[in-house]
Amino acid sequence: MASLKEDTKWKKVLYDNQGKPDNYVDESFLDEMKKNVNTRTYELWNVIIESGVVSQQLSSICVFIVAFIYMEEDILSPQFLLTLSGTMTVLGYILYGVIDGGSEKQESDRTRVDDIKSVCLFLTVTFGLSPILKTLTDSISTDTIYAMTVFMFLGNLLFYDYGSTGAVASNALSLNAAIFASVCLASRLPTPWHAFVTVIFAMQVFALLPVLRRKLKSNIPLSQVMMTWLLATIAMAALFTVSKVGAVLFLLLHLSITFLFPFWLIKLQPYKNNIHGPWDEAVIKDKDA
Amino acid sequence: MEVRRVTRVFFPYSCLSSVDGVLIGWRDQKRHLVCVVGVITRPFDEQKITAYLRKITLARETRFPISVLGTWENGSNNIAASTCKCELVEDCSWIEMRTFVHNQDPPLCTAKGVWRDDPLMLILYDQTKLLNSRLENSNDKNSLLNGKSKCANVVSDVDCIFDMVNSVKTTVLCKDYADDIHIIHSQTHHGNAFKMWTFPIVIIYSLLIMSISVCLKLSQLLFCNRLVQSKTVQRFVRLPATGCQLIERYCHIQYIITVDKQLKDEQRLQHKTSPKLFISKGNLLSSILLDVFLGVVVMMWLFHNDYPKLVSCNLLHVLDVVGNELQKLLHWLMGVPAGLKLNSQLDEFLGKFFLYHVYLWIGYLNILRPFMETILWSIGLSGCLGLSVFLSLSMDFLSMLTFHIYCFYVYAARLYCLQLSGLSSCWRLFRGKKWNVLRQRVDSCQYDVDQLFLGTILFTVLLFLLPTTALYYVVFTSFRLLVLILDSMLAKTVTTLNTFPVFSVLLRLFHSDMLAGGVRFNVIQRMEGQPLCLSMQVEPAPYSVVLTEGKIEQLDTWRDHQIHNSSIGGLSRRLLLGHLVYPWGGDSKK
Repeated sequence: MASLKEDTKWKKVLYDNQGKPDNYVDESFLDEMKKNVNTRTYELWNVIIESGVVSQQLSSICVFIVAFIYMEEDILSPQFLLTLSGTMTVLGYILYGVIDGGSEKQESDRTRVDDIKSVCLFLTVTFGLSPILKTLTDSISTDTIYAMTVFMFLGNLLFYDYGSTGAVASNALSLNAAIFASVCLASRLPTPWHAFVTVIFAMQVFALLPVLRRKLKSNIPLSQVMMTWLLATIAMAALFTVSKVGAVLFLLLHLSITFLFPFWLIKLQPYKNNIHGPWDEAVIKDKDA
Repeated sequence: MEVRRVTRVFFPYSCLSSVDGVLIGWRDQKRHLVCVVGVITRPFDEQKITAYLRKITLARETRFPISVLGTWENGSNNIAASTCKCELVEDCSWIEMRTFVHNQDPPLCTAKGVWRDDPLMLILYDQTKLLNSRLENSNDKNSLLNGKSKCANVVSDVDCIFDMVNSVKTTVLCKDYADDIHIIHSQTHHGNAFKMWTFPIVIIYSLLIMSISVCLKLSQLLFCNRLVQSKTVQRFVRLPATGCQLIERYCHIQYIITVDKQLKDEQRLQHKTSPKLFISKGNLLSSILLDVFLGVVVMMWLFHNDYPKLVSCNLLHVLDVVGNELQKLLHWLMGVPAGLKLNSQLDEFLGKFFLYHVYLWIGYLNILRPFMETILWSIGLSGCLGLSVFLSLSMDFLSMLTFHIYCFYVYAARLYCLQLSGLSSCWRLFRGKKWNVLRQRVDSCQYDVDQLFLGTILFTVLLFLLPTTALYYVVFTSFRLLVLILDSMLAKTVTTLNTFPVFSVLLRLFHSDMLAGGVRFNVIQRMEGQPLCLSMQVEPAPYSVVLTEGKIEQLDTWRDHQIHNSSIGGLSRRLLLGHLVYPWGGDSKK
């Protein structure tokens, strides 16, 4: 007996008996799927310029290590290093204030007196503890010390806050790792005065310099490239005087970070395949935020 | 089909041979219990019986009201009472019991009235035994605590029977209470058999109590002023083990003398505390006597062999050897001990510090040298105060001799604990976290740059100095543990002497009637058609119950010691973290 019922369009519901099996799909299957909705498209030169942050940090680490090697071989006298770094810090501080134009000073409640107090605190504590620091690792072998230093600097690189909102970044851990590594190295030097200078120098390179770099990057975007190349040149020159192999390695690494890795990232973008659809978990959007 | 409770009738053995009369006792409708206490023999005057029963109810609280339960017949004369209900029975149900002269079978028992259709069970019990004993069970303690009797369904039926029989001890079961009514029960033929040998014991006991109470009064006059009761003095006196022990014995003696007066009011409410009180007083007194006896024996043995002189010579020699060995040990630690990598500056500093202390201790021993024999001799003399005092004095003497080990241990432990806690705090700072005291957990925290800097430097310093401190800590803790083991063994012996219930154990051995641990029912052969007949025997309590129930509690409640966690896990945790460990084995506060 022919039924007069029209073949109505199949609806994607199960409470209505449509005469089809439960797992039937028609041609509207996967219509609501969207691909790669939230991906951002990268532009090559942008990525290259932004990758300068990583190489800047790598360069500072290399500069520090070279300074340590110089002091150990007694080429560099600690007084000279101290005066040099002190002058650079003061210059950087003034530069910071000039660029800033007073805006950030009003936001945070640190006055100039607070800064001077911090400086005095650092200097006093390190000076007081430097005899202990010097003899701390006397009984531990040099190889262990070097291994620990490498680990700690790697940690610094990994956990450094490069400006993105990655969950791995932890400002405290990166700074602490760098200071720990510098203390390990400082204990290998001949006198407490050397140890004092090493720690103060590490403090300047790993704690104060990133602040200046961030400020430069946010206020004067053009300075980013200049800074990258300046630091890279200094580091390479320094490494060249110590060890040619090291210099070549550093050059290779720097070039890959700057050119190879961004290019690779862009090349891999087409393979991105994120699918979104009505099966995703609902994201509750806050109206205020 | 509803379950019908069986009516149980308790009947004393002593009434089996009495002549005709009426049964008096207690009945509980809810529990279906009937407990016969005695038989009032004919001829009787009904008004006199009513007056007598009223007298009993007025005299004591009516937890177990006595009433007439039914009739008793002995012999063949069964004309008068079987058909009519006796006018004395007020209730709607009563018991009729009948037996025949010189008949070995249990008496015939029938229920009349409302209980006619219920099944009946006859239980024969020995009233004297019940009067002598107290059921040792834990229900007792609870009902004593809140001063009122517990609700009926928690107290068992057997407990009720015991309580009931004991409650009429001074009224029904007392010979002089009934004026001209003749009651037959267990005490009629018993009488107060006055044994001759109790007479001197009673005299000695009362002399002893009198002298002790005189001493107690004197000491109270001395010690009850405000200065002595102040907190500092009290804590100071309890500092050595001897002080604690003496105060504990003083509390014991005070308890023996004055507890009668204290408990008089509650006793009237309970009618239960008298045997328990007797046993606890006996325990205390016997413990003190045993203590003194053992102490005197040990003292005489020591002096007979002239041990003080021998021991003092050996002791001084041993202490000299120990001092030398300690110095050698410290010099070894200051070098490269067992190939461990220690920080040489810290090592040398700590080593010199402890060496100076050993030097001081050797000097202290030299001062003590001439007095050693006198001290040992006086410790031996203290045995006449009791073996526990002797042991506590030796514990104190041991602590005095090993005082330097205690000092070393405390220094090393404190240093280690401090270093460990600083290290853990700096480690948290290293990761950018902080301990939240309010929430008792680890939280993330935004640190300032100078905090980070300082924290990291401290972390490095503390981390690399940890092995040196840990080594000193381990060495001195092991010494301290050795001394503590010895100390704890002595403390455990003292506690055992203080709490062992000698009197209870002796009672259980020789006069086990007083300590009832339960009842046993045996089936008695009966004639056909008669209700089930059981005989209830009182079992003495097993030794484990006697030991745990009779254990003397610590009467000196002033202890403000922290409760020591003496399990292995707790101990290891304390050792690992550097918290101080205290001697275990003494009595901890419950």
